[in-house]
Amino acid sequence: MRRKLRENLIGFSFILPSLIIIFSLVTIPLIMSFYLCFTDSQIGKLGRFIGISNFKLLLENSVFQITIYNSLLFTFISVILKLLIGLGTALILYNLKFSGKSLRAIILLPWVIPSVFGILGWLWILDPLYGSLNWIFQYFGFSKIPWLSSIFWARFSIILVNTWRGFPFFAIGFLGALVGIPKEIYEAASIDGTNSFQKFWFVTFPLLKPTLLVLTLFSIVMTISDFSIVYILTRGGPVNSTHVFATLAYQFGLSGGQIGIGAAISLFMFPFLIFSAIFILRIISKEEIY
Amino acid sequence: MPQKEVRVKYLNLSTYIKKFSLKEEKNMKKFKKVFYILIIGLFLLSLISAQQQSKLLTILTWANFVPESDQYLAKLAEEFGKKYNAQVRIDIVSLNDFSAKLAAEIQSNSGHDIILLMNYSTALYKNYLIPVNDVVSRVQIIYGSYVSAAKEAAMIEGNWYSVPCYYTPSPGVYRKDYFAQAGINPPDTYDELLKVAEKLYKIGHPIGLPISHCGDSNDWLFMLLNSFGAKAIDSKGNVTINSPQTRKAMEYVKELSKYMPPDILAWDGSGNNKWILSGVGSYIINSMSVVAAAKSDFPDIYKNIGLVLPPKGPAGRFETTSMYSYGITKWSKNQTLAKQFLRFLFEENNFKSWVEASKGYNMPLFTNMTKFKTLQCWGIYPDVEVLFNVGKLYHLPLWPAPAGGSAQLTYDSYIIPDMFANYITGRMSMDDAIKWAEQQLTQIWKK
Repeated sequence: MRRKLRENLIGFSFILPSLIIIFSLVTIPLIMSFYLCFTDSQIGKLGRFIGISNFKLLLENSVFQITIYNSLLFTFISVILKLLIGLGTALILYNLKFSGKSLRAIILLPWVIPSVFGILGWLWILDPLYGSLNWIFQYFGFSKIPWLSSIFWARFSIILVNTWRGFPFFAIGFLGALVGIPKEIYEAASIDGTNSFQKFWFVTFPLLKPTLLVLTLFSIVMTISDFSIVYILTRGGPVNSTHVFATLAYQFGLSGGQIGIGAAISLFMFPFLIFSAIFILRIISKEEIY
Repeated sequence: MPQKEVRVKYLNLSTYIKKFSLKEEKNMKKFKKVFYILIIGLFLLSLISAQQQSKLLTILTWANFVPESDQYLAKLAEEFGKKYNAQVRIDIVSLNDFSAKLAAEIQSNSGHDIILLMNYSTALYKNYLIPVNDVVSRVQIIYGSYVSAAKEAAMIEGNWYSVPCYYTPSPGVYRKDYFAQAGINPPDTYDELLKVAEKLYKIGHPIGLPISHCGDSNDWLFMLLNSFGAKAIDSKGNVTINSPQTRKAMEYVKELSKYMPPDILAWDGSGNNKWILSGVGSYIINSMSVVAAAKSDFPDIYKNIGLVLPPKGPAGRFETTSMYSYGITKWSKNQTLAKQFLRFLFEENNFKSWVEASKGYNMPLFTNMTKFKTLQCWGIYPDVEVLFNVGKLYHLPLWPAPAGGSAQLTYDSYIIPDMFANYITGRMSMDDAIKWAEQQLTQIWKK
């Protein structure tokens, strides 16, 4: 009994540093945000309790309404694209006749390089004056595309960069799951006379579902809370058409000093994330285990 | 067989733990000795470090677009350190990250002794700064009075809460060769600017003025509004954007935007510099960093660059750009030393050499610029008298609005650039665009 207690204490002491970090860098800021969003606090000035006034003010603000739309639009489209491209990439890598280690490393690059470097690279590619994409279009006789100055194309660019950065996460996750599927199941399916599509739909996809759901959940959380892509590419423009929760919270909270409103903006995504997590985890728990 | 091996390994682990068990008396005594020595050592270290901290002066500043300015500041800090037997540490943060860094220090009520304050930051963080009336008095004895914009930014309720250091003039920067090609002179009024814009567009070298989420966009549009007699906010904090003057300004910009590239809606702070340095652009309103960059990297463009005052409108000529001041924090344990540093910085030789090192980018904020006219750095600028005269036209962006958090938030929310962009792109009618801006401003200023 004493030995077990000692071993538990030793084990706890190993995870204690991580718990301290999580508590100080995640839990405390979260509690502070919950407190601040119900006050009219400014940077350096602790405000008074004002109930849900910040939320009412935000919901009446047209810029915030566009922000909600942008955040949901980017998340919905980017996650679906990342899922599809990631799945396709994983299937290709899995079925390669040769060892694709170098290819896997190259495909992982968008995910592993510091995001600021990648996004700055895209800023140069999409630059209206010196961008290489427009240079190629003009070389072949097409007109320039206003990648960052038109509302449609600016949103397209945000989704493009988001998808580019995030699809390796899905690809590697799916690849790991594919490797874990026993080959005997495919052999049995072949004996039953199934074609490739039927093998994918009736064998591969059901067995990938738990992985798919977990990856989707993580991707939703990461995409909706993304800051750097919008901040570096468009800073929320043109005309606030690309603002997301994180960038608007930064604008109000840190640049403008209205930390109460900034906290309210950043916590707005919380119910959406909680709902997504509960929804997806319920599906996962109901999944049959093969 | 495998079970036996596992059991033996388990017994070894148990013995291993027992060997170093704190219950063994010998280890306990050793542990206590080491523990007490550690505690005493840490305590002594903290005393020594606290002693060292009190002689360390820390300064938070931004990464100047002219790196030589920061290099010279570091050199000055070293000289100061030797003279006053202190250490000076300068921490440099990029412009994009600066507001977040400053906000973090203010929120935590700890950080640097001297902090850089831009535009409305002095008013925003006044409660965390000490008055520096004595330092400013000394500066004004040496150089004469500050321009009015310096008081708008740094003097709050009769006290100076920061020492205004410099601003970055934004004159009109134009290509003499393209203007000559089009057979026109550089514009003196906004009406003339519209006419030259059309002619320059026709010869394939349009003007470029950003209408996007960047500081340059805010600056020139507020300048334009003032020139047309329009005010976003009046001196009492009332929202006054909905006015006939604003309508005239918006009609003007809609007409002007026909002769500018569509990319102006996406330009960042470097967009107008790149426009001139690409060789395509013919006219921008921007700081002298573009001239310094042209001199060092684009000699063919440099020899054709000219400077002109910003255009005049029906209500006069205005200049709007960024101002930089240094304030001393309330939490600083070295307030006396910090004041000494600021006085040292503003000694005539030191300050003039700093302006010189910045290649004139750090333009002093005094009404009488005589002491600075002999500096060699002005040699790189054509039409240098323009730069000396711009300061007299200078106001903070939201002038005459009261300085403070609301002004800062208005500036950082890009409400005015968005109002113009909504109209010129056809997203909203003029009335809707103005109403939208009015609603946004009212939400900020109603508190």
